[in-house]
Amino acid sequence: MNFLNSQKESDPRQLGQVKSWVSQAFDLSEDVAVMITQLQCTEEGCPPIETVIAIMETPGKPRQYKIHKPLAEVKQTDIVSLTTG
Amino acid sequence: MLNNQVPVTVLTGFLGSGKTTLLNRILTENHGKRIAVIENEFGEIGVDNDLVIGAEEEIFEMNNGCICCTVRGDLIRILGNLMKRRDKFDYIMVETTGLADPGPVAQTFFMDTEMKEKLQLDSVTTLVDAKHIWQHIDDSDEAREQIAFADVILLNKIDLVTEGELDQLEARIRSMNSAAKVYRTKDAVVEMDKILNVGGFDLDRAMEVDPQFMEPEYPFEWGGVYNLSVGTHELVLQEGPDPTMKVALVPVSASTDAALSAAVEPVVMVFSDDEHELSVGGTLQPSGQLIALNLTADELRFDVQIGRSGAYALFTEHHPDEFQAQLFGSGALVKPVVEREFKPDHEHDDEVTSVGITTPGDLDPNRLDAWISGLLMTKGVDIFRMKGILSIKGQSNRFVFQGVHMLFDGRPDRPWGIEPRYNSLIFIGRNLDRTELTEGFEACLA
Repeated sequence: MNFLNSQKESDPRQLGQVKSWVSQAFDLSEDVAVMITQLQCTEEGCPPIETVIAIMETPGKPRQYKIHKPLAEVKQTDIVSLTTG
Repeated sequence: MLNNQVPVTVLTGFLGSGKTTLLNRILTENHGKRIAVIENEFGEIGVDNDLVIGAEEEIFEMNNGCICCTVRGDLIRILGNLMKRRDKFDYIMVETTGLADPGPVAQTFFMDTEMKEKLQLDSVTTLVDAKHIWQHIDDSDEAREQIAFADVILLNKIDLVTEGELDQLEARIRSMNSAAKVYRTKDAVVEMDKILNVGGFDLDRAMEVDPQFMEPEYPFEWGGVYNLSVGTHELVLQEGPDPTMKVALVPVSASTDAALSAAVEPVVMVFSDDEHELSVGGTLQPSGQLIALNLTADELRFDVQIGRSGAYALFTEHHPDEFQAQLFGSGALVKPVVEREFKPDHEHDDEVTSVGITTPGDLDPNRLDAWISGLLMTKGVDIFRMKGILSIKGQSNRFVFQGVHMLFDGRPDRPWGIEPRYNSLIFIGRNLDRTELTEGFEACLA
């Protein structure tokens, strides 16, 4: 957790791109909410920064995935691999 | 407003508090502001009702159990759709259900990266039914949490209660959330500017509302320094709201504010000692003991015995005005040379309280980060809101932040300039330990 740098700048285009990859890879309809969060954690065993993706297709039962990279480094192949993992 | 973000007001309030009345006003009155309203699934006005499918909360365990966040998936989706019509409005208001915990709604704005960029939680506004809240405030966690989460509180239906009842309710609310701005309303009539674009947390404005809100609480309400000569003086009181009043009389070094301030902490210790009851006609001495004046007789007079001329500070549990207390020497009224009112202890032992900390100086960023991280991991569930302005060593700008449970959003604000650097923060939550929080924070000073 990094209190003083909680407002991580992220590129809105990259954010939109990753959300679009998620919708495409999981074949989601337009009205399914996809949430993306970058997290920092200093706990032992946690990566320094990770991107958490949550797909809220069924209310109350989100599907959640983590990619151990900052959002800026997430590639389409990372997203596709989530569907097969 | 930063980065052209759309300010969002979350509207909460127990069933029947007046949310629908307020929303009707917002939707029908010509106030010149373009406000998009997202209603809860029980709302009577169908604006975006059709967009609400499920209202279940989504829970995420983010990291090794260190953060467990609850957000509203339905809200993210509705806001996403609304933002496609961004040019049609300037503000968003989200109404929550009357029984909802506002936490997951507020957390939603700190959770999703896209929402953090496009939207800013401007305020949580809570409507309180001034007449009927008493039925819920003791029994309902939701009613208390709605008050605890609020940045703005509308005490509504004031026409149904007396001024005295309102004062009592407001005191109770302030004991739970001392940072909220409180407005008294009838039929939820309030200027839009009071609830829109409030700016998240404006400490300067909060202090205008209650200059003592960042002060610690004391077991006494008043202290005054008198210049007293050798001999017997007389303390005369009238009947007041309580049958007893605790007082402490101590010698101080001078008749100055500084001397009065220096006596405060030792007298706090005196007030934590066992009390000695003094009946009417008894003698009060500058002994440094806690004395409970018995105020049940017709003539409320006590002798004050001074053995050596000098400055003496009298601290009283209640404000002397409540008992029209006066000190006389040789038949003449003796007035305090300096006096100060203190913020009293909570009158109620609510588990939901607020703790304000204010201190000059710069903070060590690494120590602060470690402390906040540890605090949120261990106590995050109980910390409903966290807000503040910080002075970080080596940074020329103020750092402002606000948070909900374990999530927070902070950013550099305007430069300090010639203003003295200080830190002011407030925690609002359940079972907060004032001493532990204060000591933990002060250990982060550089």
